[in-house]
Amino acid sequence: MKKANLAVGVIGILLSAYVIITAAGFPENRSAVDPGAAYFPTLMAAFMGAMCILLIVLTLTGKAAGLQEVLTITPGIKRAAVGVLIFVAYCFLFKPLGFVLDTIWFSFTCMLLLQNRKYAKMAIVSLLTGIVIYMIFANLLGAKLPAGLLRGLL
Amino acid sequence: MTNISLFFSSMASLITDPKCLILIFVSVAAGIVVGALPGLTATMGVALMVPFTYSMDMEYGLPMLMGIYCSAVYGGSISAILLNTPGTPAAAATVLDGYTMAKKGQAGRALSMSVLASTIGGLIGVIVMIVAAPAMSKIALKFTSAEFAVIALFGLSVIVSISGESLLKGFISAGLGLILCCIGLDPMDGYPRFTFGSMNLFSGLELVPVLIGLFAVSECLVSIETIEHTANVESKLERLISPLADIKRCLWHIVKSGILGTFIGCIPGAGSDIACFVAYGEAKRSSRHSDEFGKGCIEGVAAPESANNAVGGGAMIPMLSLGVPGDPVTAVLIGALMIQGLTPGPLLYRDHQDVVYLIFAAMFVANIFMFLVATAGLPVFTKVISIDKNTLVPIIFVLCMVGSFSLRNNVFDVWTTLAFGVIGYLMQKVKLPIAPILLALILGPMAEENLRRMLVANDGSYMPLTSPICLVLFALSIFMVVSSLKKQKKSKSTGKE
Repeated sequence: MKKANLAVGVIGILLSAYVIITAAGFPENRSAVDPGAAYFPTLMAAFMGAMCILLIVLTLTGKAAGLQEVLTITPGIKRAAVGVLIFVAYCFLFKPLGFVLDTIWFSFTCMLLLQNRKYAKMAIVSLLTGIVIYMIFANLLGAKLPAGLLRGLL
Repeated sequence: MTNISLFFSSMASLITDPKCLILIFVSVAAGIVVGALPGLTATMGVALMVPFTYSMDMEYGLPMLMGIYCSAVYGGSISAILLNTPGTPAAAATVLDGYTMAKKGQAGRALSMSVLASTIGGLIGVIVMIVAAPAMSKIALKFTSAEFAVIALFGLSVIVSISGESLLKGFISAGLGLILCCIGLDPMDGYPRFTFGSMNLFSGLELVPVLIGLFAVSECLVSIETIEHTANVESKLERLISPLADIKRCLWHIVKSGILGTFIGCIPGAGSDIACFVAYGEAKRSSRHSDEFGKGCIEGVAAPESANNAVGGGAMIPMLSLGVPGDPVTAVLIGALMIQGLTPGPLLYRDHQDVVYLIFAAMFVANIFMFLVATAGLPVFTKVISIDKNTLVPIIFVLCMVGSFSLRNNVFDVWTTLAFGVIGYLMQKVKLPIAPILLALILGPMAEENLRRMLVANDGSYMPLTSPICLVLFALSIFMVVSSLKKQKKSKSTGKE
């Protein structure tokens, strides 16, 4: 957890610095008594930056909580990373492919990633997921889900 | 009209509307299923239900949300009793005696008592809420912007209780939330902050896609990482209704735990997981059968189940009267109310009394429905825990995405959900608590707007922060922080021993 803590601390400090620098460029407040648009973000970024510095110091001095835990890249984490890629692909294809087709390939691939091997069941569940959810949201709840390649059919 | 007559008129309109009753029935059943499946929390259930309510009228959408909110906590007891795995953290204490009873062949006895205790506890919470919340909001109506700024701070002090093992990481998580809530137009002069020129960010980050990402998508990624194989459960139940002897034996503990749970629920941050253990401890202390606790004692099931369901009513009191979420679930409910154009807080009572009493009536009816649905459907719900979670993961993810998209029919919200899902997953990996971000996203704008409004109204003076109400709220915040820190220190030293 030491490396993870240090990474959290550094990312937090960088984010705080970015917020403070960007907020410094906000226009001056129009009212003399209003602290202005930069006031709150600067205050919050300073707070977060201070907490991140404290986390780094406590981690380096061995006083931070949970340091004994070790964060390793397990096969499970690698699988989750593949999952993120599938999720990203699903979002990319959401509009061009359309909700139903996008959901069918996604559900099947996701179940495959989750080590399901009953292909017939997976195919039926994927098909039903795409069609049933589309019918509930588009027909019953009035959502404008993208039809994509099935435009004209749905 | 008095509070009581308002409540009864809301009840009457609710129970005479068949569509509303059907929706409550569906949401209660869905809540029990969500609660029963280990890994699916009440927060996730409510977050997934929110998109279904976008296009609904308020009188249908709100009862649906209340239905799932009330029943998901109860659902956790099913897997606690049958699998030795609490479906939700709120059922952690139920495992102690519930599972032992199931091993002795008394699963039906434990499950039927769990239903009864949950219902009575839930109803106690609702009754206290009906009495206390309007009174509290009447006081809150006298608050100025200074008091509201301090209330936001008071709400943020909850972070201490929900930060898990590292308070520092809880503060970092809250800091991130407080920075994220600055995205969008400045609340006073409309200057765009951190929008990167995107019109989609001008109104700030939409709360619902963020919370669906943090609480549901991140859990999908955790499920992909861990891949759990479903347990096969022997779910033959010897009874569906508690025997009179058990009811007589447990009634006092149920009522006492219900009251205890409601008051614990009122304290922001002290959720149902704390309430169930406090009630269990109290029942064990005061029971004539204290030596049987841990060995399959029926009171050990009744007390925590009553307390954890009563927390719901208690947690709604600060949410409805002050706009301060008591726990992550009520934070999600705030998001749902905001979508309907409502802002929880004292003004809700003044301007939308019908909505407030609709919520009260819906929670009351949802608890009654929970008893009926759970009792009649117990044999079915016990089979639910055998559903293959690996098949559910893609369905949950698709529901997350379609829910985010339907909010504004905008793909940008889909990307927001995915981004926060990944952020939530990474945060879990590095042990950064997620709930403080959500709390900060809700309370941050309230703090900034009221603080700046106070400064403008008082010529830049901070003196209004020294008003008696502010000082009391400051004192309460400090008390909460110090007592939580003491409790954390104590539990750490107990752990070391």
